Amino acid sequence: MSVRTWSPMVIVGSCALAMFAGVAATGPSTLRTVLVIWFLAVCPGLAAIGLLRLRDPWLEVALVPALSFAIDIIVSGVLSYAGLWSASTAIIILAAISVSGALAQDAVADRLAHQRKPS
Amino acid sequence: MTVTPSAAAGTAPLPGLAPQRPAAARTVARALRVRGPDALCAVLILAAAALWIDSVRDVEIRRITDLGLVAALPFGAFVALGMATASFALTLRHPNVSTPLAILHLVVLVVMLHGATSLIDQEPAFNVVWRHAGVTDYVMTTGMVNPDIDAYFNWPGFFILAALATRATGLESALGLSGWAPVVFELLYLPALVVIARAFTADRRLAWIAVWLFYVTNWVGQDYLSPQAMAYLLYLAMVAVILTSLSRRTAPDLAAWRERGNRLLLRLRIRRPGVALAEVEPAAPVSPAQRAALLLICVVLIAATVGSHQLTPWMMLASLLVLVGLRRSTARGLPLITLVLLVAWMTYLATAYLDGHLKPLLGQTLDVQQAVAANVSGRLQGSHGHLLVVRFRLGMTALVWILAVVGAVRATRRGASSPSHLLLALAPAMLAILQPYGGEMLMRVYLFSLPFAACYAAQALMPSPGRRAWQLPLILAAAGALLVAGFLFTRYGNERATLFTPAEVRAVDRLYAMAPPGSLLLAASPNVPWKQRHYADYRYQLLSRQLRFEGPPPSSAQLATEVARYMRRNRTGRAYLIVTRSQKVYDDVLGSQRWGSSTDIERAVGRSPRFSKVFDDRDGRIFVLRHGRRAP
Repeated sequence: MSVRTWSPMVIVGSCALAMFAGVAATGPSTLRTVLVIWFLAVCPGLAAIGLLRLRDPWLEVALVPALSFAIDIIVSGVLSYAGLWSASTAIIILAAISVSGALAQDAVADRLAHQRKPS
Repeated sequence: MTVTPSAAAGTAPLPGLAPQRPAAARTVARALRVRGPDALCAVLILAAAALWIDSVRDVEIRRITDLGLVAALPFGAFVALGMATASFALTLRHPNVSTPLAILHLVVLVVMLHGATSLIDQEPAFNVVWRHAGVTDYVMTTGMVNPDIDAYFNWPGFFILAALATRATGLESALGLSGWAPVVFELLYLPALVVIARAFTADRRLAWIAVWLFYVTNWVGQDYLSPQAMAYLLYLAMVAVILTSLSRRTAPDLAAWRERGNRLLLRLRIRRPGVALAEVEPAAPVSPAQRAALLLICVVLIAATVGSHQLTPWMMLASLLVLVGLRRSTARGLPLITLVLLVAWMTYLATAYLDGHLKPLLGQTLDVQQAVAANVSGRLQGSHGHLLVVRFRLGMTALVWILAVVGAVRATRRGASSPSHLLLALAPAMLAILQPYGGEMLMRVYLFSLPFAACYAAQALMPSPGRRAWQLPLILAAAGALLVAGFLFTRYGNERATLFTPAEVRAVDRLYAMAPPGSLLLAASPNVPWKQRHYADYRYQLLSRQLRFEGPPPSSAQLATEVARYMRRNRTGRAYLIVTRSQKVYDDVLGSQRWGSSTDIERAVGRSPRFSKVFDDRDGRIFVLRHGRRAP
């Protein structure tokens, strides 16, 4: 199973778990911490990077956490400056971004692959 | 344990049959897709990790000295580090290095070297972490940032994210996330470091050595729960894109560089490079749409960094300027975009900070004398043990750069140097003369240069082509022993001064319980586990920065009088003075003010009738002024 095949499934699954852990669950636990950090560190970036279909897996892995945290910072920062910050709102928006990216991966990636030519 | 038939029978294997490996080795080998001695390396590194964890867990923090953690480490920890170093050296004995095995070694190395205190500390170490937790707590509580409080709130991106993570995990404080932050951040750096190293060379061994060198020489310790740790990840990711998909590495350009280099070398009377240009693995080709998307990703990374950290965006800008200016990258618009984002942020969202600080900041610009004083001479103080640690740090830094220069010369002679890496190694130095950055600029310059300097330093450790295969493992084992031993001093040399005990944390809890909001909270020196909550509810001051004495050091009575005067003059409500074990240790190890230390202050107020002690525990004491007494 290639990275392309499993990344949307990972994103959607992680988002579902993160929604449960970050929005619905009560009380701290190690599992909840791991789920939330995994979601914040992986899902938004994986959804975006998956769209590009890069040929260098190391570059993809390098970009996923960095881009994830960058998107997290921008989304939660905009909410904060707008006076709308809440963890639940931010998680829901990030999950929406991630799932949208995951669902769009096939369509956009096919188009990108079609256009691909070495620069 | 599985017993092989031959072993059970006590006989040698039959001729023609492969010798049986232990069951554990076979299992690990299958998981890592490795064969032969590689499997034993995998077992060796896992055994080293187990031994390290078992040994380090038993460290008694009271045995840590001014030399740092190394004084308290048991013998087993050193054996574990030796095993890890030897195993890594053996793993790289032949050119076809198993990638999973190399990754396993680096992951274990990161956990061992950068996670040592995560296993030992009873409370989160480093007072700055507590402060960062306090800023996060403020955002979590109010949902907003208040730029008027301090600089952190003018670059709040990281803290807003930390607030999101803390609230979503259900933790009370971001301190709950800080324990393993160094290991997590260092592991997150790994893929970007691999990309950077592979953009330097097609030799896989050289690339793995470069990444390994980064980890064993990264003593700077900026990977705790902090904006700079996050921003560094974004910086590395951006550079990884620039060096690969957005690099300009076409043949004519390289040839031109080589020709220019040849002319320069001839002029310098250095031997003309005669070996053909070493192959650098070409970056995977990207379509125009992918290129545009990668540019957009870089902009997102830069934007998030601009709002999170003061220094890192300038490092990004410096790196982009040299790469684009010297035509090493096709991302020609990125420097301008970075500059626009920086100016926009400072103009609209960091004005509260810059209003009061712009003049002093500009005054420090290009002030080389002040930069040297803050970054070098200002740090050469403290106890004898600490001075030794500082010298180790200077020595380690010098060693990395000497190796890098040797590697650069060797690479140039072989025609294998990567101009982009050289430029990126040198670019951060431009900022060293621009700002002292609170005496931390040289450390930051070293950190930002390290991924690229490590590539050249790795080149210095590589034997010349055609040498015997066992030379590299021997060189690596020797270099590893030296660098890992040095790392224990350089990275964990301040451990005695940065760790906190549960008793100190209880003292601060007691302080918050007794002091009404709005009170003035005073500490003798900066090393206090406070501000993790009530960040803006109190006024926090440090006597070491507020008191001034001309002439000879004051007597105990004079010191108490000045402290009392300060507490009366500054109070808006009540005033409390807390002196903890860590403050006294901090002054002992890192040096105190000329007029006195935390111990002197504690002794002075303890003897003075102007003060009463309202809390006294083993590691912390709280003093208030007696009512009815006025300072003269």
